[in-house]
Amino acid sequence: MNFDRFFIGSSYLLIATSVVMLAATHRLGSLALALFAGVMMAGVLIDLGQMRWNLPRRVANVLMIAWLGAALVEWQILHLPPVAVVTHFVLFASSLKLLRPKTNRDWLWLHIVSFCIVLMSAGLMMGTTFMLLLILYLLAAASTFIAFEIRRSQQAFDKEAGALEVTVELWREVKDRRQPLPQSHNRSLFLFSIVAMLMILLLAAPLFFVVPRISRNTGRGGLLQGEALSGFSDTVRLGEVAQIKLNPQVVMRIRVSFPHGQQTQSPQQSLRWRGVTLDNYDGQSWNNFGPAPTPIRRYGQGFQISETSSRHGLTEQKFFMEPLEIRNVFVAPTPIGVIGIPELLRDLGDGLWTEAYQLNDLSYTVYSDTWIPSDDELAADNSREYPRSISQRYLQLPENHDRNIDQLATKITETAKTQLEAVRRIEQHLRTQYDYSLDLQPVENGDPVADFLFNTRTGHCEYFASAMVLMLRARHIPARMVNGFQTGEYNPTVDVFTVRQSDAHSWVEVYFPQNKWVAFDPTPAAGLSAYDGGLMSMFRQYTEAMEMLWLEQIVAFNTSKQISLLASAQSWMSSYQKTLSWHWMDWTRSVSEKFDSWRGNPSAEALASQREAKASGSNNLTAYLFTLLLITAAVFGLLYWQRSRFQFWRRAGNPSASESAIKFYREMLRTLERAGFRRQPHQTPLEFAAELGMPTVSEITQLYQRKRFSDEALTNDETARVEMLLQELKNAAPRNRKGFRR
Amino acid sequence: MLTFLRQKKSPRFILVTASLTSAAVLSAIIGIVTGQMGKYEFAAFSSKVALGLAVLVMVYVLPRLFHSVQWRSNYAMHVPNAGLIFGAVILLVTVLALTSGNNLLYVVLAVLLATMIVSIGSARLNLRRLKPSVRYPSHIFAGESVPFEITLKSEKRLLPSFSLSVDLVEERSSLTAEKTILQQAVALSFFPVIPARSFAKSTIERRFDRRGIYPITGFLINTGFPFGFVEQRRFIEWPNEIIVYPQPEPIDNFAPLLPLVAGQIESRVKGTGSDLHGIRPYQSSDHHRHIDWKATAKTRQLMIREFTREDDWRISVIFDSQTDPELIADTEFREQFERAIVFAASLLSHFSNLGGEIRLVTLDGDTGFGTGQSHLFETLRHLAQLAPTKTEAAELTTEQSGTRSFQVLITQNRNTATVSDHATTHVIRFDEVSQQINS
Repeated sequence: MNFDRFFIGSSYLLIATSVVMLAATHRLGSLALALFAGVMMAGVLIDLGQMRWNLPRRVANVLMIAWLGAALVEWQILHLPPVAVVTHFVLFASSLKLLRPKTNRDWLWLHIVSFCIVLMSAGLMMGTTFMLLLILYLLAAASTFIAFEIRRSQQAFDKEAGALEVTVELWREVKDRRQPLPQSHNRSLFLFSIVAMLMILLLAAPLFFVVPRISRNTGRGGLLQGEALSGFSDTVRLGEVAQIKLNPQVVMRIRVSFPHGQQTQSPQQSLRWRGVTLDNYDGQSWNNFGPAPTPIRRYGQGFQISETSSRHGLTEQKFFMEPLEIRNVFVAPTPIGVIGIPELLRDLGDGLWTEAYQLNDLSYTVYSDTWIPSDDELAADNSREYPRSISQRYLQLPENHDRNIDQLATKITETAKTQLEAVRRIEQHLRTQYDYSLDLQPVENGDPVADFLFNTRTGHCEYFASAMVLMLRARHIPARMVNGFQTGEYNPTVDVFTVRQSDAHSWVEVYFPQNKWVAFDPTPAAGLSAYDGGLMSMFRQYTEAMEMLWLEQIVAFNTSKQISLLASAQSWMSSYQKTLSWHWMDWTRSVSEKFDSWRGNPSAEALASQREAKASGSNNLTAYLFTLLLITAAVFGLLYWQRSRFQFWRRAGNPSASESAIKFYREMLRTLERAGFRRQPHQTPLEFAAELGMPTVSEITQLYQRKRFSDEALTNDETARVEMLLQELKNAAPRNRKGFRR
Repeated sequence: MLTFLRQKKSPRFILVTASLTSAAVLSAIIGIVTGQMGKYEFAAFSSKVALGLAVLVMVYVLPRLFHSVQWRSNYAMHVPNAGLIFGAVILLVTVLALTSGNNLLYVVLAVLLATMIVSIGSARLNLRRLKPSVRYPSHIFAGESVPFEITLKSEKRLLPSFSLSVDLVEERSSLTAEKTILQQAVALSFFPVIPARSFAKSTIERRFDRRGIYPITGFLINTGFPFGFVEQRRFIEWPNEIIVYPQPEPIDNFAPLLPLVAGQIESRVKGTGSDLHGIRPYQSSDHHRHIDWKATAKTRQLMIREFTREDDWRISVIFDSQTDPELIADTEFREQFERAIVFAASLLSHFSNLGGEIRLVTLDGDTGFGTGQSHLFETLRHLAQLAPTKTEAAELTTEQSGTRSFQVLITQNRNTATVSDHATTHVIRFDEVSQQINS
């Protein structure tokens, strides 16, 4: 019985899973991964005896020390991040162990290293990939450690028993015959590993929620590195947003609760996630001109950004962020309050920033006034008298401004009667007269916006937005460019918008003296994200839903959620207890009233109460008790049936005479054994019956002798007789031979 | 710790318990209902009845339940090195999770804690419903390898059991005067797997270096299953004993100790006994009744059977185990004592194999004369149990049967034993046996 192959296989699966987990963090190069895969292949061949190769221990030690020098080179000269240096060292050391026949200690070392890699991966990633790989790792670990335990125990016994190999014989008794069993039980071992894994997962789930959280940090660990996003700093070179438009990686997920009455608005049309505001254009790039962002005063747990109250209610947005190396705080315009961020700053362009944008902070909530004024309201807002701060800042044009842009703007808007009409005409002109493309050649000389407007006539959202801002400013209408994200894909399964890098977008905000900043989007429909339906979309939605649940319930679980969970549990218990006590009181009252009415003197109060009880269903407890009684009776019945199924030999199919005889005789022997009378191996049935001297036993034995070796089946009368005798015997055998009534 | 109900309850017990409990609950409900109706006296009465029934339930049920529960646990748990390492890993992950607040580390921590719980539960489950048994030869001699056949039966319906090592728990007396009893587990077998409702069997060779009685208290089934982080043990009571006889040696090893009897032992003297001495040609003085007709037919001349003298083939070995108290714990003396036991066994075995009647007399009793293997084994069983005792000048009585027999007294001191017929007894001291061996 050898579990070695099973152990070797599961050990390699364990190591491979941990390395795949590490690879999933994108901190392991493909070359290192390929080399390690090769080493693992060689290791398998060595362990299976297919390859004769033994790296001497001394050589391995020397190579290990030599690698320390290489690690220093990687760190100090090649400037690789410490995580990569440690990873390379661990993989190299593991390779040295893998490339030779292994002792138990070597295996244990490799298992511990694989676990360390899992721990490291836990700090480097956060998605459901980790969960799936952890489940696979758990299965491999369960199989490995079970096989390892058997292997070690076997070795310990062999050592204690001496050099002799002890063979084990396995069999099962089927109808008094020995049926040999196979020696290999790898399948049952693997099945048990699956069962163990499921049990561990089932137990781990509640444990995760009750283990106390004492750290103020929540969510992710310090090893996690965010992804840099171009286009979201305070200086953005034209064309940067296009770089991330091709990347489908998820940036954030947002759950939105609209105020009552606003659900009718199409969220895809109205919501954009505002990131950075850009007001100053130098002919090549946009920047956020002006003083550094200033902190917003905290009120309790959150920040109040605007003191103006909304007439239409606030839209709540809960952001679940992926790790990003940016400082922007994304919001739906116009933000009123933010909760869940330790520090919040605001620039002059209403952009929100955080100095301490920690990767540990997974989620934050924003309350915004997302009401969009109607065209009539905006048309009426046509004073064209702007505050000095607005006109100074948002009418800026670059020094080498192309006058052709002014002429174009004038041409488009010369007959416009209101500011809104001018804005709409420019927006419409850009949408209809220009093409959308992400495949653009950089402009070597001159203004890229002018090149877009008069030369290429093809661009992406940044060009469209820049052109609109410049054209509006040329017409003395304050405008600014905003970089952010489109609404994203709505996932109804978990009611969230999934926003990807490909949803990055630029649009325009125009100043109206009464309505303040209003968003306009000159980008044609081809530049807006569109998500198709179909099977792939459904699959993507379910995957996203799983990811969202994982992020929301596991990764973002924190102390306040834990307290809330415990409070809910306590509240549920208390409510249940209260309901139960009310039911109990109602029930006792109704029983007493029924008793009164049964005795013939129902009081008026009792009658009224009965009617009330009927109406309120106070007899629920009677139903509960009755149901409980029924369930108890059913359980007892089932147990009795289960027991009797094994007792009554005649019910088991249609056995032959000899089989019946064996069964009822065994039943008798079992009954006698329970009473303390055991038939000795040397005794024949008749000798045993004679020794006991009990007529019941003698009669059953005689019947057994008659039927055991004959083809004659039991008649109905004989069957009934045997049953009666067995029952008599059971009744006469209470506990032990002392109390046995012969 | 509560382990298991010793026996199933009888239906009568269940019926009475259920009736009493139901009646108590019903009385309590009636009390509450009548209380609400304003019938306070009846409510008080019902409550008292309920209380009385509850007391009755306590008096009737609890003692029986208490009695049926075995308090001594047959399970024990041990944390091996792997478990300690695992504990250290849990501690490390706990610290990492608490300080970093990383929920993925909390996930790993929850998984590790769950693994520990599953480990303990599975090990306990693994040991349930197993029945070990062992078979070994009835007659075991010291220094000989004997087969031990271990069978483990799994009575589980569904789950297999993995990684089970079965030990036999034996009691060993220490050599000190206090005779401390030590429990020693002897590894019998290891079963990597036993499927449900099946048997596993293995055979090992065991060798007992010293004669004696090896009391067995039971079986110990160990398992580190599933992960080796926790070792669970289950003790299954199986009181028994293994008797190991002293190993007889060829009598030639002791020949110089028996100069007076040597000739008589080796020569066969003709007599009127019943054992055949030889066959020779008929002489006229011979009685015709002793003619061996078969031999006559074969040799075609009259042949006659001769018989041995009966009394010469009876030997009594008197073993005097009395000694000075201070010598009992002395290693050298113990060695002398053991050699003397071997000498006695050799003597008895030799005579028995030659067909003689043998008898062993010790302070504990007298086996009487007898022949054959079964009688030899009985004497050897007595010798296996002999231990040095303090001097009490007890008389070792040897009942004379009227016929002559050899008597060999083996003693530590000639003066301690009193033998009725000292003149016909060959006395051999323990130290003489040892000297003989050494020379």
